[in-house]
Order: sequence, then structure tokens, then C-alpha cells
Amino acid sequence: MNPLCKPWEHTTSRRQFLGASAGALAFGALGGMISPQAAEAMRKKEKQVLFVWLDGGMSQLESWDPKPNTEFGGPFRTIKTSVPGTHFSELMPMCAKQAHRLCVVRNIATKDNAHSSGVARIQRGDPKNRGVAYPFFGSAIAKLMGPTASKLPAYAWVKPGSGGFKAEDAGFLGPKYGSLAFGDGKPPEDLLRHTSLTVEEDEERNELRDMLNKRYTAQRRPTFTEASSFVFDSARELMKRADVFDTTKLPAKDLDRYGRTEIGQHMMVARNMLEAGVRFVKVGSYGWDTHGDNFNASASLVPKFDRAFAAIVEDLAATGLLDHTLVIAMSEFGRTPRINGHVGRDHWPEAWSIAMAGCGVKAGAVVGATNALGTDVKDKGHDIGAVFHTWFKALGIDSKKVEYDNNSQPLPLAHDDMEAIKEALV
Amino acid sequence: MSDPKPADKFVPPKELKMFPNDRQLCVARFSPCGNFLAAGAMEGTVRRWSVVEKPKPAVDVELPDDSKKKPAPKNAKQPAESPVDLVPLPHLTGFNGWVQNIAFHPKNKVLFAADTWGKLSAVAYEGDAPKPTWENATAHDGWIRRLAISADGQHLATCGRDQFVRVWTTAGKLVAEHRAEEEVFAVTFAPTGKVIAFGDLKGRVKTWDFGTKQLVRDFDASVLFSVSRLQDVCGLRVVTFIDGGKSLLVGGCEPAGGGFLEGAPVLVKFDTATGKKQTEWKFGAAKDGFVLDVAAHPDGYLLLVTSGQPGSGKIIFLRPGEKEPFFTHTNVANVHSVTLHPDGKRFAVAAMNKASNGNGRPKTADGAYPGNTSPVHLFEIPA
Repeated sequence: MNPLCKPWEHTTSRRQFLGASAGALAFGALGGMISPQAAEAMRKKEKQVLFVWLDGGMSQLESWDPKPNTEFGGPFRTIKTSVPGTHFSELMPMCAKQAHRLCVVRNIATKDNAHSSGVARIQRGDPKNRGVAYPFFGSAIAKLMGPTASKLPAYAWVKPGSGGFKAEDAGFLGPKYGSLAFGDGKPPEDLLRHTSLTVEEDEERNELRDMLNKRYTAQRRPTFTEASSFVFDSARELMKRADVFDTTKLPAKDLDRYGRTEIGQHMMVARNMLEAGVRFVKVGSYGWDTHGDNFNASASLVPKFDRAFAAIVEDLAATGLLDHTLVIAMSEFGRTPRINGHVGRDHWPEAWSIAMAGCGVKAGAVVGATNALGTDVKDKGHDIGAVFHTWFKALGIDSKKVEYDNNSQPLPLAHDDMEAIKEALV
Repeated sequence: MSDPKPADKFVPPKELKMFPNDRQLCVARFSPCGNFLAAGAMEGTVRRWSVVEKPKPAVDVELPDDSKKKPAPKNAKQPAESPVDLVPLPHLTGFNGWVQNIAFHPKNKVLFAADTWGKLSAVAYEGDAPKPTWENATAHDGWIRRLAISADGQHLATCGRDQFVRVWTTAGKLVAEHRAEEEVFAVTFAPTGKVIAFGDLKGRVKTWDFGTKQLVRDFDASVLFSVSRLQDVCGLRVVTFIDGGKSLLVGGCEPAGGGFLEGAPVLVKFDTATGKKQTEWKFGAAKDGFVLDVAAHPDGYLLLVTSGQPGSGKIIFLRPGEKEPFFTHTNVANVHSVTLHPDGKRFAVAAMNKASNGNGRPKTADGAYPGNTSPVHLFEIPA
């Protein structure tokens, strides 16, 4: 089954498409004229985002904000990190070595303790309700920054399970800014040129496709076709970069560093995508909703994340990409300090942690704190709106001045009443 | 064990009393003399109680906590007073993380305890302020998942997250160690000889001769393992010999998925000599979770306890030769441990308060954030 979108799933008008993607088209044109080396140099100056989403809610107590030997602290020890005085859970030894590159915010306090609403609420930044669905952060960046000179999709999502085009991420921005999801870290079926086709034959087919598209478009409203064409064209760029998905040729030591796990594999694909120039790469991992047997579950899950996340931070730093790449790892909430009868932890938006690194954020910082038992943030906590302002600012976007234009309705990028977390920014 | 009593002669156990705690417990054990109950707690302590036999019935009634606030109706049926009381003693401290395992020496007045930071220690448990007779802070690198003591009181066995199984003298000297393929979740001694059995994350159970340091036999309990998305889900929790060592029981959960961790409690019986699976019991639905502890009654039956989704807990009475339990008690939430009093007439379980789960902050009138607790329920087995 072809996981790419269907024409009728999209409603972006030609005018919206052309207006929104003017910058991207300019980059694309330029990218076609300059040498690969120059394009690479330009790309390296472009800001990118790695967004690691641990769906279900990673326990802050078994990761970034341990409370050993307290009522709710759990069974694990803590370990020293590369930042004197900062400790992580013993389940994160590799991230502990990268702590000098990380910025951990320990006083996140959000409002939604349900997955069904919380996932979207967090990834849309939970702005004031204006009767529209706000875009996920990836879609926002796709809109505000467009693709890089690479012309690769602006918003890619490497995830377990099925892939396809996820238009719903884009909210009011329109489907063109949705995510192109790569199920199980693989390219969409039929994306790559079939081996039985020559390059010339493939080009002939594409010419035929273009011709038929134009004929189809001429007879219908363009809203039904342009987003589809955009997605197809983005995907076609990926055909030239099949190497992005191929981790089999990587050295064994790389496979070991990232971990021979699903998240390790996907993080390597994400690294390849960032190196190839994808603007925003989301890596999704499922199964973090540890209501039962949280501690054995964490003992299995957290080290796999730890290994993969530390490896990509280390590699982005080694190639210099970290200077231009904002790295984020988070869930929709944390987990309750209270340990339930199934030895699990439930949903806890009240006091949890996120980790960041790279572009614009303060390396080696621990921002905010929770109380001794981890049941409350100390002083003032930060809601997701403040986190969105922080991310925008880290990427050089003034979220207090720049606005979305939703068919002439000006909309703020993030919650009007919140501010960026200054302590987290350079 | 003696011959099991026929089912029609069994009179269901009667709960004598519930003893509240202000913290969660991992394990509870009666001392061999029967005068003490000890429990490993999630606060990194060992809690102790004197088991006090009270004079014969009194007219006083034991009321649930809530009912103490107001007088009981005059015609209300009053529970009989428990003939046994548990009188709290000072906690044993000096542990870290959780004390998930304790074991009494069968003859000496010594209690062994293992914590989740890798400490193994021995304490002369009588008295108000017992001190460790020895301790090893690095017996394992981190979480010690199980501790067992040999029937002759000569050896201890421990296993942990560091993949090691270790055998010690009860004086604390390391005798032998074996590195397993995965984290090790359970260990037990054979009733005689120098053989232990242990089970790992993937449900691989092995017997190992710690005298010759040779593996003896494999037992396939992989029904207690699954991979759910990124998570290796270990359902194995307990291994124990019965029938004088002729059979090996492996208990835990057949995991249906990670995260919530749904799965049915399962017990598998193997022939020790051949490794062949003889019987597999499943005790309920996916919400019912794990068999977490097993106690063998002198009358030939087993007491199993289960804990699953919050509120789900069972005390199961099973004869190893029968297909179904002959009695199941369900009125206790999330039972984590069972211990038989040496007289065989009573047993205690460490369970959980009701309504132990919930997303977000519970709304309490005073704004407090209460932790969960593990009451100890004391039962009498009618003669």
C-alpha cells in the first residue's frame, strides 16, 4: 500500500502554496545552481531541529530528575554527569557523559494529564484558544523556515509502525506543512526507482505524471492537487538520497553506540537526515506509558533512549551540526511520584523535565528544580507555551513579534502571556 | 509436605486483622521462631513487628479506621478481635533504594536483607537497635532482585540487574558466581545439595551447581517474556522447588504488552530432572498481572499471591497436582508478598491500599500528596 497522501486529503490553495513556499523555492532554485560543496556550506549555516518524542511519558524520576532515597525515589541510584553537581539516573550513563552539551529543564509544569489531548496540546504549544488548531512544532518550523537548500522535506518524522503523510500535524497552516512520516525508519514503499527502470525511463514516467497532473488540475480546483504534488516532489528528492535510510553500511561501532534497537536505528536515520539537510526531524518512540511495573520497564526503555540520544548529540557535536541544530527530547508529561499498586507510575504534568541541546540553548545548564520529593516545581514552573517561546528564540525567531497569517487572521506563534525561559538560552 | 487435604475439608481462611503501614512494602517474612514479622520497604528500611499472641477473646471490637470516628450501631455485627497482634519495633536502617528481599536464617537469629543499590547485609534482628553483623555494599552492581537462603542455613544466593547470580556463605563470603545472559530476576536453592535455580529476563531458567560451577539444566519459561515495542517485558518473578526438589515452579506474568503491563498471572511446573514442562496454570485475565510470591503449606498446597492493575490482587490456594485452584481470595488489592507462619495456621500478606493509582495530583482537602501504603493482612487458616 502506498503510504503517501491522496489528493483529496489536501486543501491547500495554489496561492497559499506559492506564498508560503516562496522562500523554499528560492532556496531550491539556488540549490540547483551552486556546487555541492557550497550548498553543503550553506546548509551548515541553516538551522535545523531534532525533536525526540517519547510517547506515553518518560519518567523524570528515572531519567533527568532522580530523587534517590526518598519516598517516591524508586529503586535506582544516581550517577555523576560531566557537569559537576548534576546527577542523572543510573539508567542514563551515556547521556551523563554528554551533560555538558545538554540543557535540562526540571521545572516543566503543564496542564493536561491525558494522552488523547495532551500529545497534541503539548506539540501544538497549548496557546490561548482562538478556535483554530495550532500546528505541531515541526509544522510551525516547516512553515516559518521552510526546507533547507537541500530541498528535502522540511518536516520528517521517523517513527515505529506505519508511515505516510500526516497532514493533521499542520493545523491551520494547511496540509502542506504536515509531516512526512517514515514508518519503521524506512522510505515509503515504491519511493525508490525500481531496479528494472532505467533513469531515462523513470524520467519519462515523471514527465507523463506531470502532464497528467496538469490535465487533472486544469479540470479541478487546485486545492485538491497542489499539496499532493508538493509531497510527491519532496519525496522525489528523497529518491536521490536513498542512502539516508540505509544504516547497514555504517560501521559496527556506530551501530553499537546508537544501540541495535528500534530507537537506535531510527536515531541513525535521523542523523543521516540532518546531515542531508532535512530541516526538522522528529524521532518518535512508543511504549513509554509505564502505568505497570514502571521500574523494570524503565530499566529496559531508558537505557535504549540514553544510548541513542547520547550518540546523536555526540555525533552532531563532532560534525559541527550541533551548533546549528536545536535538539529536544520530551514526552507529553512526566510520571507520578506516587507508585501505584502495579508498581507503576501514572501521568504527571505537574513537575517534569525536558532536555535540550545545541543551537541557542545553554550547554551544561540545569534550569529550575523540583522539591525534595519531586512532587512540585520549586518557585515558578514553565508551561509548554514558555518552552515554545524558548525554542523559537533559540532558532532566531522572535515569537513575540512574528505572527502567523491565518487567512488574514493574525495569530501569535506561542502563548501570548508566556515568555522564553531565559536561563535556558545563550 | 504432607498429603493434601481433600477440597471438601478445606475451610477458607479468615482475615484476622489488617495492620496499616505508612509506606509501601516489597516483601514480608515471618521469622522461623514465629515471634517476628519483618518486611522490606520501598523507603529503604526493614520494618519489624513482634508477633504477640493475645489472651482469649475479649469483648472489645476491632473496627475499621473510618468507623472509629463514630460509634458503631448497637445492633451492628462486630468482628471478633484478632487473637494475634503485630507490635511495631524500630526499623532496621542503613539501606538504599528499596529493600526488596529479606530472608531469615533457619536456625540463628539473623535476618539477611538486600537492597536495590547492591547492598547485602546480615542483622541480628532481635532488640531495639540491631546492628549488622556484616554487610557488603557492593554485593551486586545495583538492584538485587532476589535473595534466597539454603535450607541448611549455610548459603545465601542473590541475583541482580547486573546479570550475576552469586552464592555466599551466610557469613558473607562469596562462594561462587555465574554471569547469566540477561538480568536475573529470581533465584532459589534446591532443598538439598549445591544446586540453585535462577530465571532471567527472557524466561530462561537454569539450574546451576555452585559446587562444580556447572550449569545443570535449562527450563523454558519464555511464556513469561515478550517484546513490546521498545520494551523487553519480563514476567518472571519467582522460582521455587517443591516435592523435595523433584519439581521446579516458575511464576510471574504472561505479558500481553509493556507500558500498562497487562498480562495474566502464570505458574509453570517443570520436572527438575528432565526440564520438561508438566503443568502451566493461568490465574485470571490480563488485568491480573503477576504471581509475585509463593509459599508452600505443610499440608501440601501452595499459597500464591498476585498483583496486577491497581486494585487487582488474589491469594490463590493451589494443589500442585490439580488443574485449578481450590480457593481464591480476592478481597485484597495488589498482593506483593505472602509468608506462612511456622505453625502453618496463619499467614500474612503485604498488599496495597485501595485506589492506589490516578493521573495527576490527587485532590486532598489539605493539599497534601499522599503516597501509597502497604497494609499487612493477617489471616488464619482454620484447622
